Amino acid sequence: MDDVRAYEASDSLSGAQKVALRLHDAFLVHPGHVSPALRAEALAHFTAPQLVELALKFYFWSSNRPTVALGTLAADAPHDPNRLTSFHYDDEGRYIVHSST
Amino acid sequence: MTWLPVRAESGSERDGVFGLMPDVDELLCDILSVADQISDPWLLECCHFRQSQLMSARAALAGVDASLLADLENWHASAFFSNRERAALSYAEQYHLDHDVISDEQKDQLSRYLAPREFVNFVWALHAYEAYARVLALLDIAPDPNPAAKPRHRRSGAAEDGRTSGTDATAEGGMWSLLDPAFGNVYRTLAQAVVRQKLIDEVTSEAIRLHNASHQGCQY
Repeated sequence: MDDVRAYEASDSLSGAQKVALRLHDAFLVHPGHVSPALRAEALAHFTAPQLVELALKFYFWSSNRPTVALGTLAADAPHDPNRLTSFHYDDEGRYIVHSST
Repeated sequence: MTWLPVRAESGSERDGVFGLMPDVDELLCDILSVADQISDPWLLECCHFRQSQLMSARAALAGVDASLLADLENWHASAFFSNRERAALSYAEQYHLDHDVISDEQKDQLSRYLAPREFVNFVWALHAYEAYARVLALLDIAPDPNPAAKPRHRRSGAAEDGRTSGTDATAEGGMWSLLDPAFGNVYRTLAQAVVRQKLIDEVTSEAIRLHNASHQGCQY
């Protein structure tokens, strides 16, 4: 998680992964202002189909925003309020929470 | 034009870009269609146009009535909009800028006009369109050469400033029980389609998911 939060300084993430995260930052903050330099980096590391897949993953992952915005109406308490929950989606799109023990 | 090296065979960049992933594109269209059905489509469309203005999503704004766009640019002062519409536009703007700090006043204002079930469905519908506009803006997809005239929906009687009333105003339950099942179904189908895409490796996908959760204030 620390690598992701401070991804530019990470020794673990690859150049391509850092570019993907820079694009994600653009999606989150100023989607209409992707710099020419970032566009060039993205095209150097990813094909057009990969970039479309990335954009659609950005779309899908962002679906936690309504839950956060709706606040108490969400009625879905964090599994652990002090940390992010580890989970993945299986091949059928089911939400699988990893055990914290 | 988009910065992706994509040929727009039909003349539509949108179709050329999303045509690279046709199964997901179909579901994306489905989720937007269901979004229209679970909320006041005119209200939703106005909010979508305003959010698209904020992020320069030019493909989403093509074909929109120029007078409506001018009113949306100045919705705070425009006499065109009702109080109900202004409450929705205020919420939608803040949702775009930072969904985590929508004020109690903004929520209360909108709650005066949308009962809990309507509120939940409006927010999910708003999100479906807002995130779509982000994708259009990120990839800088050009407007279709012959865009359909917009708005597509007509202002309904609900555009008036009627307050919430009736049984729906007292609907109880968590978000998932209030969300229209049709939206939940198409959302789950989209989830399945997205996680099945494997052009992006799993480590990168997971890094993006964690980066998103960290940024969005999500602890789930």
